[in-house]
Amino acid sequence: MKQFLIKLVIFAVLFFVLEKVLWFVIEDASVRTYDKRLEKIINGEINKDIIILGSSRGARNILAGEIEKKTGLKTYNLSYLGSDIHFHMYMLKTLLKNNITPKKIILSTDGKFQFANDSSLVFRYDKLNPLVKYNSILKKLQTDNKKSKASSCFYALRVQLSQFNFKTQKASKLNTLDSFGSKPYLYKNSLKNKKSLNFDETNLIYNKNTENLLKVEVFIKFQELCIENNIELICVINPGFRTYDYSFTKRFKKTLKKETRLFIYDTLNPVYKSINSFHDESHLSFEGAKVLTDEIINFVKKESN
Amino acid sequence: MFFNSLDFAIFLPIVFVLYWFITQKQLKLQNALIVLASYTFYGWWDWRFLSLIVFSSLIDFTIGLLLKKEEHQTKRKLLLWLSICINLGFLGFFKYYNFFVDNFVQAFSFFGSEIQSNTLNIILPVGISFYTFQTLSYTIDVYKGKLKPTRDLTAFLAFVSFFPQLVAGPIERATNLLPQFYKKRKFHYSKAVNGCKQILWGLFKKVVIADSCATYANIIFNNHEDFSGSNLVLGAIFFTFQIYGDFSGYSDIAIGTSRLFGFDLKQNFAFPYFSRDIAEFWRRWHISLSTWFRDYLYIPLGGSKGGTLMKVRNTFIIFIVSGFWHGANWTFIAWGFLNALYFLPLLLTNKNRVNTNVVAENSFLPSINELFKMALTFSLTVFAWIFFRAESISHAFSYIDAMLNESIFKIPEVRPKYILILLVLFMVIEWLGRRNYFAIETLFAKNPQFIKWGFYILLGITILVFSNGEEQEFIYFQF
Repeated sequence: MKQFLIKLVIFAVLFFVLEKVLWFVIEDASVRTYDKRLEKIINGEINKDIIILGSSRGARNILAGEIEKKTGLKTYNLSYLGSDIHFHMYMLKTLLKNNITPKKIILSTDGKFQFANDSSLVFRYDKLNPLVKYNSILKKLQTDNKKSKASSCFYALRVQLSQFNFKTQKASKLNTLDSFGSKPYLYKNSLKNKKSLNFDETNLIYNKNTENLLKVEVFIKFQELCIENNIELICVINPGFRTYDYSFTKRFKKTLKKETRLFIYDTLNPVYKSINSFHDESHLSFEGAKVLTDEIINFVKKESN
Repeated sequence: MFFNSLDFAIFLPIVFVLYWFITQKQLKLQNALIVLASYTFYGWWDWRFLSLIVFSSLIDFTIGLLLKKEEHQTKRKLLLWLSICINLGFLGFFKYYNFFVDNFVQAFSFFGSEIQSNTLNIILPVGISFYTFQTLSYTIDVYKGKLKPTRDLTAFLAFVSFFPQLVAGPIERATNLLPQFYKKRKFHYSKAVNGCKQILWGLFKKVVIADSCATYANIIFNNHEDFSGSNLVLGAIFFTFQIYGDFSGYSDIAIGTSRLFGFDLKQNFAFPYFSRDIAEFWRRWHISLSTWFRDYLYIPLGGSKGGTLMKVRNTFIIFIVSGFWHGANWTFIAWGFLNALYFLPLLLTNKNRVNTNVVAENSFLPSINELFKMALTFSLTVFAWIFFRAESISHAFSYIDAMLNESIFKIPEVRPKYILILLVLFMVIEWLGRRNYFAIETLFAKNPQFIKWGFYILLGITILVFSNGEEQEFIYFQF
């Protein structure tokens, strides 16, 4: 028994020491990621006046560079494709913890998907995984049961299998980040794809029963956090290649605090009925994004004055 | 509690220390600790179902004692049937009630009379199929006079609930396991080291092989309409390795853990994918269940002693019942039926016991003939697993239909390189260790210590990396 226990302890110690070699893989993972926005937040490098948060609509439709140029306010886009309000809340909290508090937050909304109880929008854990070398990230992953508690001790439990692919990530044409964090569609969608794009004239009816109440609750907390930190929150109702979704806006307004401002795109603007303004039914082309961003700029300026 | 969980990683050392350092002087106390640990292990999942195990154990314990006293054959038979009815009654209710109700309703509606379906929202108690068969083997063996009934209640409770094999086997015979609870266990260094190695290999099979294959098998099976025939073949192969890694991995961990406590359990898997015919496959796959059915169903039915018709009937019965044991779904019955079809030609031509030795026993590589036979058996097995994995019979047929067309010759789009490399490495290690109890038992045995330990550390790191902190349930828990 004694011999067994001694060998077991030696083996355990050796294992514990040798698996620490994986630190190099963990360290390397963050270096090789293409999108470094989250890491910049953690390192306190996003000290801006205006921050844009949202999912793909925020990333594609709102051009942070244009806002900065025309308002003179330093602007950065922290929208992540497919991300939900939980993720936006996490981004905001992390931002406030490590950086100077922004003056304004522009939150891009997603129509019926905003509070939907489905997986169309999710918490982007995949964006956190390459950054497990940071304790705050590891803690978040552990709290959300994405990493075992034992990952605090064992690096092998932190590392992702994909991180053993030692290639530096490259963005595809459609996912290139500009220097302001936005991801506009700089490349036009092929005509072939666009042929199937038809302006949808149906009037949507918002069904409250499809909501995830937790998402509504988090959105309210998101607003409270902005109020606590004296941040002006502007929520953006995005255009789609369809008639204005009045039904969602009506519901969304009910969740707003009086301090929160709501921007609705110019529903009468014919640009939003032109196929050239859209990349697909939900996202604007670069030309369309410029029009929407100009409208947002006017909204920001008007109220600021 | 899962074997691949942090809870178990804490639970096991605590029980080990209490077992060998606190209770080792008194056998009764040591057995009581096993009972307590086993009930904790099971109750971690759902404590309410502990009452079922306790009740089942007490019934069979009492019936065992009554069988000893009773000399009248009719009354003895009655006692045996009482045990069978109670045990199979529980199993039938929890596992098959809804299946039978649904099928009766469907059958009636087929003949034009609509009746109300009264299915219940029943939770299947984990491991019920395993411990039910284990206790049944005790009563049947006592009835047949193969085993003396025990008067030691603690030992009996420990035998039924022994935590390493409680929820997914191996299904131990009372004749093998129960006597081990009567004797004082001694700690053997080599046995414990072997146990650790087997646990490590079991975890590797489960976490690295099974769970990796499961990701792709699930995607392909759940969306089979979107994939070409070659992808569907790959999906079936992934499931083939998933089920093997999952279940044999569980058995390895169970056997290895038992060894740490001084117990010897029977081998449950003996490298089945190197089998040269289906009969050999069934001697190597889930051995504890196959032999259970052989001894308590096939032989009492007359086995292969009768005429051709009897042989055919018994073969179909044993394979279909074995399939049905896995779950209340026609897919399992179809899987059993298909295996019976595979097996029958061998039985009828008396070739079912041709390959009883280890493949390529005295050589490093198999002969071309052996390789061909192995490939054929493996292919038949892969095909049969489609029924096992499918959600329904129509799903299975739709999968096969989409698989068997010209697209089977296309290069598959799903090519997870790292899994394919892992599977090749895994099969190489399994091949090298095919003469042993488990694959890595003697691997690197003749090499210096640092090579052996380096290999174990590499295995350990791989397991942790693949586990990624998330616990995956073992497939056989649902049975």
